[in-house]
Amino acid sequence: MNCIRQLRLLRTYNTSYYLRNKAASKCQDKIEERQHKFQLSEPILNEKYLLDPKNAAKISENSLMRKGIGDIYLVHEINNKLKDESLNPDERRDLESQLKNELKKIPNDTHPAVRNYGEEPKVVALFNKEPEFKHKVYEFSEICRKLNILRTDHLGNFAGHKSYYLMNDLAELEQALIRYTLSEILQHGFNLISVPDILPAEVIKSCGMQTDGDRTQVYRLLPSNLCLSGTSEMALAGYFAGSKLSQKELPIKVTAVSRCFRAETSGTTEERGIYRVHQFTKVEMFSVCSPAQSEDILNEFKEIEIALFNKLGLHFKLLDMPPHELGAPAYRKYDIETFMPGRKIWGEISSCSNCTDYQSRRLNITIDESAEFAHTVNGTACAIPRMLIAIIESFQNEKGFIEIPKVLQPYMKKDKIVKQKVIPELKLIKHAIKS
Amino acid sequence: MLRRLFNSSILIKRNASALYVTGDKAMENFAVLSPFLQIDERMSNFEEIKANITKRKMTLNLDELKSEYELYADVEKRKRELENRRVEIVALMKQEPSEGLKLEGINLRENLKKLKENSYYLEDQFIHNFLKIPNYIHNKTPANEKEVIYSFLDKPSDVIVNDKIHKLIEFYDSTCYYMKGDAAKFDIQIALDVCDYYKEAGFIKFSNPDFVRSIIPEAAAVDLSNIFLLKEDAIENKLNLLHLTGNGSMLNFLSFFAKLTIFSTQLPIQLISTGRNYNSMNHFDHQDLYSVVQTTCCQNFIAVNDEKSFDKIIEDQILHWKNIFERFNQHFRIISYPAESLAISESYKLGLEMYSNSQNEYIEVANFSYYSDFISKRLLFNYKQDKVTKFPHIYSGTVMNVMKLLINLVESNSDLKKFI
Repeated sequence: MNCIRQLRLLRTYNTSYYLRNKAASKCQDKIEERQHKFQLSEPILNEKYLLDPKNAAKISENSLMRKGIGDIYLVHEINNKLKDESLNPDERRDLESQLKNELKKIPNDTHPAVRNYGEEPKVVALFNKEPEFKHKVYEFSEICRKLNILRTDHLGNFAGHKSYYLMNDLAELEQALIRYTLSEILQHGFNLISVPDILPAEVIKSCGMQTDGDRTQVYRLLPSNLCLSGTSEMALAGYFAGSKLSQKELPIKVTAVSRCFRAETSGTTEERGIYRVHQFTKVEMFSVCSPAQSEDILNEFKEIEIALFNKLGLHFKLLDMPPHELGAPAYRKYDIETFMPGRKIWGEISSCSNCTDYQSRRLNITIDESAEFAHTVNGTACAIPRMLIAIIESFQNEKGFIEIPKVLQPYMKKDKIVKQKVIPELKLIKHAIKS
Repeated sequence: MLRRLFNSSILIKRNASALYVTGDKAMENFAVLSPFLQIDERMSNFEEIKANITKRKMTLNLDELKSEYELYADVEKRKRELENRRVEIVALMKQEPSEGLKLEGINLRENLKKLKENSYYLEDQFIHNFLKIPNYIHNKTPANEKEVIYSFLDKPSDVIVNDKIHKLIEFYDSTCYYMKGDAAKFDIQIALDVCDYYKEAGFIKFSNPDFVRSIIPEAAAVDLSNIFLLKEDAIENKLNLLHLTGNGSMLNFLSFFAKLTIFSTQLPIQLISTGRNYNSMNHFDHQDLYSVVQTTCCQNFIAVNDEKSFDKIIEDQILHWKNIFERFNQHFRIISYPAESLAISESYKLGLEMYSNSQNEYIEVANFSYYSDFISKRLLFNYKQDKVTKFPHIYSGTVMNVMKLLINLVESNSDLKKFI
């Protein structure tokens, strides 16, 4: 038992194994302090308007209607304190910083047309007929299991929570959707741009997202200041940050296909499967334009989205969103919800927002000639997982096939998705294998 | 021997694996699988290991490994002896119970428990180094130099490098760059076209996740410090951490196959995917477009029964590359890498190189590796044949790095419009 005694002695030298984790990320230390080239600056807010007591009632009414967090009376209270000339420099600095923070929380103004919507969005239009089925209607994951085109089970320990593999025809459907969407929107004068999916935390913060804390929706790489982009809008906003654009360049319309990463999760039955996932591919539209153009651009984005989903034959509705659904940045926002017959819900597949100067003030995007802040408009052209759910659930038939929408058929070189036995069914080994 | 180990500095830090979880850690860290390691078999051929790491020019302290193994084997033997004696005592007690036997039984149980508790550290230490022992080297792998297998057109000479690339790519730093115009179109479209090509050649399209847990890179013998680590709750207590590698990375195919049992009739499996590859090794301050963090890649994955189809698969891959790359009408060559360029898990590796006039050297724009059953065994990807469990042989490669191809084409004055 001498051996045991010596081993016991050894054990006292064990440091806990998480040291390994520190070692694992050590090589990334050296790059942390590097400066990035994004031209970010402090938000340049319309202080003249916001700090004028005459506007307080109107601003407060807007904030309350939007159920946001901004409090204009608190802003004024701090501003009044700052008028006290007996403040010492430290107190002044603290108050100035508080004022800046409170000012940043004040939401964008609201489009007059939606102010009286109350709690509910306005259904502007309905498109295509609700699909009718003479057979039992199945939900996305049930159909995919039968066709063996999706795997979501038993992946947590290998690829992380809520991972998924699109297999065979479902992976082809993803590629077909990207090709179809791009071919459609590039006809509308958009420039394609490829964007980074990994961004410095400062860029993400400048888009109004928190990157720290327990409830953040942003993935962070350790131990760097790098984060994973939740939408290409973040990278595009960073791209235009600090720009002085000439009036004749406007409107600039760009589109990007990118991977989006979101730390949020959901446990509801309606959102089961790949409805809300941590990573997915998305085609995004983004525009920087003049104040006079933004309303038309929003309408153009809306029409492009309608045309995209209409040609696919989906049953969907266009919603003009009420004030409390706008978040802080949007002045007006349209959502598109499609009926997902398998889960029997209307699911959001797309939206577009006019953010007027809310983003451009934070990113300092101006128009050269007039020194005005530009306006920004963004819209989702195709977010893959929900499009897959909508298509698979809407176009299932009694034989268990999926009828591929006509506009996608040239890309997939077939008209239906049927079961193929080429991919092994999921069967995992349970026991250790003996040598 | 123990004293020597005891005195060595390696004991200061305990190496823990997510792939091979020792009993003490299994309380709080779920052991996802027990890798099939064949430790005794591999260690019995010590000369092969020695020759292998010499060829690969690796630095692995073999004396240390050997002594760790002897100690590990010694403890394992002792454990087996105690276990056997305990079984014996149970049987004897059934026949003829006695106080002496009962006491011996209790003592044995205690000793076995203590031996296990105290040997976890040694087990970790040995396994940590054992997992670094490289895969067998295929006999077609050249010993010292790259071997050119195929060459298309002649190496360009005295070409003026076109710097149009800076108009097509706005470079912020190694992590952030923006591609515009034809470059952005090329990046998306060529990748999709390559997937279509492979589909026509009998491959199945896959769309993979972007994250992997530590167990996957460990099984593929990829150093965890070379890939991005993601922040998670209670990360200090976890072994099986979350990493960002990208849906166009080889590792992200492996999560699908971990623990998967299939029928031999389902082989070969041939898959193709496209997506991002996030390379954390390129995340440092530089201006080199050829080594950026984020690239769009096409990755294939092949699983077959055994090594017999090696020649055919390599031949097919060369043919695929010819069909895909000759249309760009630029010089390229296909090479096989010498042993020293192989990763730990690779047994043989092909590369497709194009000549860069700006760098004055060949740049790898595609690769394809043979892993034999090295990774399958560690991840228990298995199939049954005649009731015997076997492990498929794996081939996988970044069959096109779109970014590198694009830069090369622009540098050499090719018009991207012709390909999109």
